[in-house]
Amino acid sequence: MKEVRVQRLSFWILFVASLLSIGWSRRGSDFFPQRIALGIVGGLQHTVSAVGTATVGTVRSVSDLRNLRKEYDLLLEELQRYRSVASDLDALVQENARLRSQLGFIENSEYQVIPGKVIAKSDSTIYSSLTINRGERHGIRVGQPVVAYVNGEEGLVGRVLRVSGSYAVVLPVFAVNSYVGARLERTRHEGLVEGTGLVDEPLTMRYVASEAREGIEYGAPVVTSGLSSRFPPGLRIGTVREVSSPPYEPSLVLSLTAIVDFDRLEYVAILSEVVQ
Amino acid sequence: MNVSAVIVFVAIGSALEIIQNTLLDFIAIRGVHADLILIVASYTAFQFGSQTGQVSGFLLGIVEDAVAITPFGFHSIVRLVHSSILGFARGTVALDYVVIPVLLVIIASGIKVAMVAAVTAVFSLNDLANPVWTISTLIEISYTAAVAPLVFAALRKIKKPDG
Repeated sequence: MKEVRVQRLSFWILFVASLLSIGWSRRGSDFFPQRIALGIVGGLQHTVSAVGTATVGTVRSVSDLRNLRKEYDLLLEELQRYRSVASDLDALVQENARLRSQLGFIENSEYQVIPGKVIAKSDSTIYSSLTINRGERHGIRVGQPVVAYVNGEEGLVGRVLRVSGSYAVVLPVFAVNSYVGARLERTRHEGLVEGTGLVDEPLTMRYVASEAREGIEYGAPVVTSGLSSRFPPGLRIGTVREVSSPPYEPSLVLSLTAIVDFDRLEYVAILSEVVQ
Repeated sequence: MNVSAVIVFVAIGSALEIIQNTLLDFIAIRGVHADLILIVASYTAFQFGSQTGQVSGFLLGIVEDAVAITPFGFHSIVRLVHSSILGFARGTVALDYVVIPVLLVIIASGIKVAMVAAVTAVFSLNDLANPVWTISTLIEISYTAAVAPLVFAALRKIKKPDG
């Protein structure tokens, strides 16, 4: 009987604590316990990500070595060294190309840019978020835009939603609660880009004036409008894949393919204040 | 309350969640992952009872809340409730290897969806949480139910209730 009472009591204590916590953190984005928790879990994610990368590299090396032993007994040591060097070189060349493209973007950008790496992606049916290895001590602040350099273009990833000392949570542009003021790059018609909550689903651009229809081409780029202070103008968001005008909407609804391939996203750049 | 079970299963659930979000992010169906925390919380509640289950569920929810865009406490309250309810099923039926894990996970998923909808409505979180009544939710429930027997079998190897 006593056990049941304790059980009920602990349930209600935890239940009320959760309710109070939701109410409290709903007031502002900087809720101290969540900040601490993000620091701890972000650190664990960072460690697991780093260990995983190292382990995969090690496993690949061992596999290569086994094959070499079978085929080249006499030249084992030399061949192993060459293979290892070639493998490392290949990885270095690829990494160099990636970092060069990042650097090129950073140098050409008119914004102060903080490069970062995606260490975790949380995709659930309830929410979507990215965790990056940059936080307050690197100059990251809530609300800063996050972009990525993909296939020669800079594309909008999302914005910083929460920050701890060394890590930050990013609200991606495809999240259901993401809204970005946008315009068609060529015709300059404005609209509002919304996410669907799923990484595989296209973005939706609403409130585009009906007269824009004739000027919209398949594949036309859509960029940030800069009308809100949240995102600077001219950042690419996506390209038009479908145009529709539902009977219940007075304006056009565009379906967009995001510029950023979120499945392959590794590096990002956080835009800090505009360099005067 | 079984404190050692709480520690073990919170550690396992947290590790699975972190590994899934970092190293195994590519194992998804239409961008949807299996809810591994729900499986661990369900196992803990069913095997060790409501008290142990609710504390484990609450702590696992906090781990999710750390990197979520939803308010702090959102996941902990959802996990607390479904773990607590499933805990009452302890001892009612024998745990087999397939049917009971699948059933428990489907029931827990139903409670989770209802709780998400309720908390979203009460706190007006429509601007933060995805809608729950979607095809993605069905995919997640099916995926989680399919994975449940494997995870339950692994968890049984790690820790069973005493006696």
